[in-house]
Amino acid sequence: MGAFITTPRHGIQLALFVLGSVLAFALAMAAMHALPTRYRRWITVLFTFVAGLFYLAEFVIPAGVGVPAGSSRATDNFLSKYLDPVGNASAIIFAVAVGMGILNLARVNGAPLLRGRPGWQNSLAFFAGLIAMTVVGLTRWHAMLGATTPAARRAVEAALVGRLYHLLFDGFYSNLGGTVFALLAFYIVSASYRAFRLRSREATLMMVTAFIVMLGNVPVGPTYLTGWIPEGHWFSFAKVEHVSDWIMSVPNMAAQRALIFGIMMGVIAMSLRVWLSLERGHFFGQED
Amino acid sequence: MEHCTLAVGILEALVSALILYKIASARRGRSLFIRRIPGLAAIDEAVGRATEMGRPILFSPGMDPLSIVTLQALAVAGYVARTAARYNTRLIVPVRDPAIYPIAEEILREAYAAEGRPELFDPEDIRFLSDRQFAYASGCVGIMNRERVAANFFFGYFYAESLILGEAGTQVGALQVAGTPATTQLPFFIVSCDYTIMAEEFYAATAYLTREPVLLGSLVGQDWAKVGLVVLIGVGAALATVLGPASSVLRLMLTQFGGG
Repeated sequence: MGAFITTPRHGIQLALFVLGSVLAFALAMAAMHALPTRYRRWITVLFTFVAGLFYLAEFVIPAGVGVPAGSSRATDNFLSKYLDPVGNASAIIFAVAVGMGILNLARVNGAPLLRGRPGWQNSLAFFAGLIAMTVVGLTRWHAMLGATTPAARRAVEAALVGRLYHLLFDGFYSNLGGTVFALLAFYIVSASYRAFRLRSREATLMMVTAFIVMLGNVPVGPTYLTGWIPEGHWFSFAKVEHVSDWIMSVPNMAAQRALIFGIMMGVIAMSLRVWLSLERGHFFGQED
Repeated sequence: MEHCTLAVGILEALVSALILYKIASARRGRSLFIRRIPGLAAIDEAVGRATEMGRPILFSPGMDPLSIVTLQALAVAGYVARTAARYNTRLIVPVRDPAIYPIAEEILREAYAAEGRPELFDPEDIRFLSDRQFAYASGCVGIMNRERVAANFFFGYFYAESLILGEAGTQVGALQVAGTPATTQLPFFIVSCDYTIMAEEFYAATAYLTREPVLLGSLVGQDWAKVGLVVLIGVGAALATVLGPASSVLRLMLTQFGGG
């Protein structure tokens, strides 16, 4: 069964396999819809439990169990070989979901464009970018399929479609992303201005600490402030870069580890509740 | 592939058993105390503010794909949606992962229906923006400025865009509540948001908001498990101090718990 699902296929066999999978999924969904709610819930609980049990069992079962002695997979157990196909299935579901996301974007942007609502220019820019990138990207991808040598690939990149692709991706997209990222520099300044006002003892302590750490990370501190202290001298602990390192690696690290410790306990508890379908609330529905 | 050692397996079983015991105990009717968490108590305040100003609310469920963190964020979104429906306030939910989009839509639809206001639900208020980090952040900033949101909720896992979102919300004058288990982004949310729910408080959110016995019992169970693990850390630190790093007992502990 595992080999039937995971064996790579090509051509008409692949098309039939995809069609059959879609059909099987549609039939399964139709069957689920036809069932009464209480049975639908129990099927969902069962699938959730089995899926979680697979990952838990793969982690808990020691390496080498169910694997022939001397095998190259000595660090795996008999469930490990199914991790990749299960992970690939998740990636496929995500790929399908991208199509759904594009439909949503088209619906949200289509209405202002068709009805001339304020901001229709932004919607026009969205459709222009979507169509341009899709057409150029797919054309370049198709051209690259036939380019099996480095010279052929260079020829595709030098052709119109290659240059358009790089104009859109490297020229527009990458630069726009970098621009938004660069906004952080200004936002950090404005956020720091608000954060470092001396309104309380804690704020004062935070400002002094931040100032020391900042000095330790710029050339001014180690070079001009404490550069006169020789390395290895008994007083070298007072060098600003050492103080800065100590602050980051001792009290700061201790606090971060404490936070992570609590986070991980929360993750374990919530994962347990989701796995056993004990989670209650607005997502999982109220208790029956 | 990494697999657990015997000690880790036993430890996980004990922690899980403790959490399940506390859940069972809570289900039997035992009342459990949970301290006030200001950020969660401020959710109603934020929704009320948006209602008074006649402006919408923005809820971002974070940058992660469908995961435990995102499920928790969506659970909080459901509570916010019910409160917004009660006060007849618009809620906009931009998502980054398209797989989250139908889940968010269903949660909000049910939340509005549960409050008896299904007609208020607008599917176009749940929007897939982009799966790219800064494109998503730009889209959120655009929504904040165009819609002049009065309250922002940032619940989930965030990365470098956290400060962009927080500062943009500050510039439009929105009341902001953030909750994230991302320790690297906590400083940015603390300086730019009015309330920040950090680390494990994020996972306590649903228990705090709903007061469901199962959730409260789980919270108490994980707290007790934490106490036990802290004791174990203390024992390990004491042994390391007394016996020294070359001790065979210490080496065995390090091997079993993954440190050596």
